[in-house]
Amino acid sequence: MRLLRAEAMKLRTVRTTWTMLGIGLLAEALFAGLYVGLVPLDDIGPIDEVLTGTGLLMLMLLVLGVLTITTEFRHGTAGATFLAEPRRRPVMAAKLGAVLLTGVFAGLAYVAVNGGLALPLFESREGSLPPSGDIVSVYAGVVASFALLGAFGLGVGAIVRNQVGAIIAAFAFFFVLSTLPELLPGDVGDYFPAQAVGSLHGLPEEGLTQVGGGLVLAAWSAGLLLLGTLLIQRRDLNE
Amino acid sequence: MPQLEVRNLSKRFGRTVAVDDLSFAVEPGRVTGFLGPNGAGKTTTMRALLGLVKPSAGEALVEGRPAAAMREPLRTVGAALEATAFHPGRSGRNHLRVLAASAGIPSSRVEEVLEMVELSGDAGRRVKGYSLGMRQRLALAAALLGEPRILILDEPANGLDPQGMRWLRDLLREQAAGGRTVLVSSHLLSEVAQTADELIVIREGKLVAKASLEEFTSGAATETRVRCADSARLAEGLSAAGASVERDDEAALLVRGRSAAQIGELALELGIALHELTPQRSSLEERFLELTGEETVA
Repeated sequence: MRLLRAEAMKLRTVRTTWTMLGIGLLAEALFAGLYVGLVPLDDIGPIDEVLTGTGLLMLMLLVLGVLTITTEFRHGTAGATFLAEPRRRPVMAAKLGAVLLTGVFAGLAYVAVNGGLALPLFESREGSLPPSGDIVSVYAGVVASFALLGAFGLGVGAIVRNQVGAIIAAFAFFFVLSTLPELLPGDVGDYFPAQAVGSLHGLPEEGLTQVGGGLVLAAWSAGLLLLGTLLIQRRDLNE
Repeated sequence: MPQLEVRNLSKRFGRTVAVDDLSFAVEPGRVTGFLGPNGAGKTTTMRALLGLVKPSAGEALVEGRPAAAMREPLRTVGAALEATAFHPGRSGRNHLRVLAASAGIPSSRVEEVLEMVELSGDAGRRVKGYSLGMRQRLALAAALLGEPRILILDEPANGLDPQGMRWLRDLLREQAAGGRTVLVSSHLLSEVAQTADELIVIREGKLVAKASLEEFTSGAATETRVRCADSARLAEGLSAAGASVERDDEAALLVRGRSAAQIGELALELGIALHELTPQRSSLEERFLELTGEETVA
């Protein structure tokens, strides 16, 4: 619990966190206004309008997850961190807790902007909203995806450690890989991270169920985290 | 029981041998200077003691156990490793608060240590804007946070002004006088000579000397170069007084075992006019350089 508090404080006490979340939310609001406000009603899909503007926030959470661990090496604070708690696994668990909380926080902020701006705007144009149960389940999926993406980034950062390298690796893993499934036979592609996020958001064109998508994304994040934690435990901390 | 101990410690990074079969123990209640030229393996040894670097062979122990087994790490050992190891965007105060939170130390203690290192006024600013001296003091504040029984400080004097050096010396002496164990590294003998009770000197990862400061100094008396009107008679007089006298070039004498003041007084007594009376570079420093194989005086 102490460690979780410390890790959450680390995220809270640097401007980067707030700037990134702020830009993500601003982009969401802007996009909601432009897309929901201006695009012809017929072109807006039933779920799309609900999800307007998750893109940049997803990136931000992925990067924040990476930064949670890589800044410790980049700025040499890892020494102090692992001196205050020499057991490395609990520190990693606390970092995971902190990024999950950040993801949930960002998810709730997203829901607030979406529910307060995109939906009313859509209704004001007399668009017909999906049943509120569907909206709630999409929102839940978005919150879960933000949290899991943070964990995903943390896992990649623990493996790669070099900040720029880790961010590139996380992007590549997430986005470059997501173009592959079209080339693959069958439904293998449904189990790729980006496709799993789509399922988790309840996008109809994706193959897995919402819960299935969530589980697949969680499995990716857990796998990366396990490997990353193992490496953090074994490696020397010379930074 | 020694508070800090390395036993046959070796550490290799790839092909580089950073520490090579090093053994020593550090006792409480005194300041131990850990000396060696840059790259001698001081930092690696300290990191091994703190459990940050895993030994390739041998052990590094804190209170008889590996660092990872410490129950209350920050209350056991406080360390200042690098003056640059801060997130530039976080304030000094928040840096300490994060560490305090992870060790369950109340934030009132954060204000106390900030006061101790005279950083209270700047604690709200982001570390980005700190001078090297301020970073050193912040690192020290972090080390002192848990009121630890052991202090491990890596080159804490780097970037400190003379006032800061003095403050640091007083602090280390005070900590040692309170029964704490203090291990402080430096590549400059002069930085620790006035503070340390005990010296551990390493070179290329190996131990070259471990002795108390007195033992270290006794083998190295200071030399004074003397030129005078009648060097033969002065040499005789000095030898009679128990000094060792060597003939340098031309008419100069090299005198050991008597201070410059004592030589001057003797010359006055004998009625010999002095032309030159120059204390040579202290042989203590020379001995250190000889041990560490440093060519130049840093």
